[in-house]
Amino acid sequence: MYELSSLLQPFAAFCLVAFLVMISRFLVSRFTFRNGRLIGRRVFVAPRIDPHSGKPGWERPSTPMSPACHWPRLTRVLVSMNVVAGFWFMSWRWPAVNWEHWWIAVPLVLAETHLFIEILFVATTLWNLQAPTEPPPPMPDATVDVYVCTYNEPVDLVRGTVRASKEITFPNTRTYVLDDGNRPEMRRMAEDEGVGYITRTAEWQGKPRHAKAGNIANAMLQTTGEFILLQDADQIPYPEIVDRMLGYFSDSRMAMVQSPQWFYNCPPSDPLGSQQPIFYGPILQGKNRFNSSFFCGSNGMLRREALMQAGVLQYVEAMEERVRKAVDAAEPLLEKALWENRRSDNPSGRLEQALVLLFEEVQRVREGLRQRLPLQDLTWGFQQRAHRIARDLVAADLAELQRRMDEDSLPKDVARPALYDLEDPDLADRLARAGLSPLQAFDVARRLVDMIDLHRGEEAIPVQGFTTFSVTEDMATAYFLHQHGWKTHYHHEILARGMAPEDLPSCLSQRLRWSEGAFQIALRRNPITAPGFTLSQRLFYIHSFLYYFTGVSTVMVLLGPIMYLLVGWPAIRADSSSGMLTHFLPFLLTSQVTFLFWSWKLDAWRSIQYGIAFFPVFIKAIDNAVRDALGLRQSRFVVTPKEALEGVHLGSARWQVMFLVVLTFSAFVGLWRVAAGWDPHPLATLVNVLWAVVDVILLSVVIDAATYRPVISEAELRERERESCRVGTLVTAE
Amino acid sequence: MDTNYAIRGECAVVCPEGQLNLLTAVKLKDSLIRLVGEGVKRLVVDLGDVPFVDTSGLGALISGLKAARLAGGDLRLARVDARAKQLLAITSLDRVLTVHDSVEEALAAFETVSR
Repeated sequence: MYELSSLLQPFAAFCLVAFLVMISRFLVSRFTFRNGRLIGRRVFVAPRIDPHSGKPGWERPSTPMSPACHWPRLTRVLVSMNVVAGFWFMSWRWPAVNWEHWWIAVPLVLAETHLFIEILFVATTLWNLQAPTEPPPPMPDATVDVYVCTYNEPVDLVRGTVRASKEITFPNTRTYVLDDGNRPEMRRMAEDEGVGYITRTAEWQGKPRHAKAGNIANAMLQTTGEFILLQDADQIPYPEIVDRMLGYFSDSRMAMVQSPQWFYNCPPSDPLGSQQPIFYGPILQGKNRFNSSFFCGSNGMLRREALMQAGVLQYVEAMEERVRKAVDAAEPLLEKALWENRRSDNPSGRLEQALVLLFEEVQRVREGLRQRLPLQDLTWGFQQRAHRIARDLVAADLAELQRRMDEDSLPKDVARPALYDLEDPDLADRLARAGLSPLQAFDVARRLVDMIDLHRGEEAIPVQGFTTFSVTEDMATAYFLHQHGWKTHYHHEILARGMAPEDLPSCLSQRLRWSEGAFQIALRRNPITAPGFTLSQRLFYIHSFLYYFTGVSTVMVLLGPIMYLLVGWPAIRADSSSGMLTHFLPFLLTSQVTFLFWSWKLDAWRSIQYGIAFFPVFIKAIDNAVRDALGLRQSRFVVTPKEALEGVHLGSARWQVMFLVVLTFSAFVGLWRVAAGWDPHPLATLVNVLWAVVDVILLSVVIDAATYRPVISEAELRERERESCRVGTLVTAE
Repeated sequence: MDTNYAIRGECAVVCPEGQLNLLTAVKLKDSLIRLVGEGVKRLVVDLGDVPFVDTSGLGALISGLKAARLAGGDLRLARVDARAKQLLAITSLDRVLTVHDSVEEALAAFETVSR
């Protein structure tokens, strides 16, 4: 134990220095100094509308590039060291589980293993990063539609995007405003600017609208470009956007090309983590190698043919499912009718016979499905024969009724059933509408005919390119296209600028929608069994969904030090705790060094913090998706607000704040115990204190985020402009 | 693309001529839906004079099928060439639509009620 304690002091010193560096960086970022003297507080003035539109000399921001792209050998060496150290750590960690407190120890070790698996995926991504190359030249004859999708954004914001897309240099480009809000002032703006204006057609009345996916499906029937560039209302394209992305489509199997989303209204410190430099960077770049990059809703191009094919495939899927379900539902329906007839006071032999015939017909459809006969023949034949069975039955019953009435010699003015023309094809409807038919069989047949059909009448448009089974239609569509052998590409170059949410609640609701959407995909089309993927695509998709379970793992990692320091439940056996230094430290160090290397130019720290701090969002997404799948709730597409809410939003981060408080408290308790000399295992306690401190630093991002206030009043903004402060940069509030 | 049609009994035989692609699909869709609206519920689309079909064209056919089925009728394809058949297979639309070799065969299919 003595040798270990001698290691302990440098270790503690290292941690302290790291902590102080972090604190001072934080403080420096908040204040302005001149000649070493503090002169004021730093405030970021977020522009309301893009300040650079139409201004000459405004150049595209350079796209941050991970050093891992340029130094593949060094990357692989570092990654290998990290992975080996990780396995070394795991080989110690599992036997060290303290079974005495298994209820905390086992979930914790599972959580750590999960986070280790995350590291393995990051390692795979880094291992395969390639230096980006120049995109292939665009095909000169291609036609491109630019869709500017809007729902409730202000007209001026959309106007900026429209004007910028008119400046796109590629010649055969036409711009359309897809206004799902159907606003007259937006129509006027489109007319003024001379671009197309598209709203939902009458077919959508009373049908599911499918949010953005439906908006695009509607527009696709009204425009004719071979390729579609999708822009959210606030995403302002640079003129070269099409030239840089179109060339990839010279590969005829290329369905989608995505470029990064970059936000001009974020301060450099990016308190809400909007820029996502890791995602729009190594993650998507790494996926290119395995043809598994996905679509992100805006700043991407799509091949119309691919989308339409996805639409037709989904239509066929929906029809097969519909007929199969109808056949399954038909049998109980018929059995019930048979049973009711037999039980009634006056059971009808003819009805029984008709129901049996219908039953046989349903069996024929089932057999046809098994033989994979075309659904058209199956359903048409079934409908015609069901109609005939019902009609024969009615005819027989009516004839019977007629005979009885003749025998009873009723007065001539009573309406005779014979007034009905038996050859009248609408007889069924008319009988049923008049409530005249005594025949359940008739009703049953009608219902079956309705069920076993092909029309997809519940949808406004039968063929919709974007998939609609998830609230993140973009990712789901890429998923579907990958299943059917299409290719996607991520082009790592900033080609548009947009606006990110500016307050914590909006940011959280956006993240919640993304995570929920991903779960919906996983629950409805399980990536483990979904056909059509290559092995690597399958693994990457499984990882994309597994990622959101880090929410659960994070809670365990946060609870670990609390349990040890406050409650005294060690998750690691006391006799193993010395292994912390020999097994955990190498892993920690290699992870940090690797991370520092590949994230050198990326400002990735926020992403790391949010990876942890979003844990309540991820957990809520799991909960929502499960309840959604069980039919207990209906998820909907939430349009991310473009206007920031005023005020401080600690309430929406209550879980993170709670953990912050408890972790800080437990760190103090631990330190105090060691200082007072009461602790029998000072090393283990200090490790837990360190662990708590790291958690606190990671979680503290929510304080920044909750108090972030980008919006200043118009008057204030004008005053600042008069003071010739450049909007969109850091200025000093004296 | 021109779309002619001939009324044969209760049915209409629609004969588009020229490519059925993203530029012409809307036209075909509109004429199919108009026919159904006029009360002709049984449609045969004769693709014999269509050298090329893309997925937008298939979309138009599906829209026609939807309209016809909702009205209690049907839409059938006749004289589909090898390339279009291949597209039907790729999109698995051949799981839904039956392909008939001649217009007569397609017309006869409307009457297949016999067991």
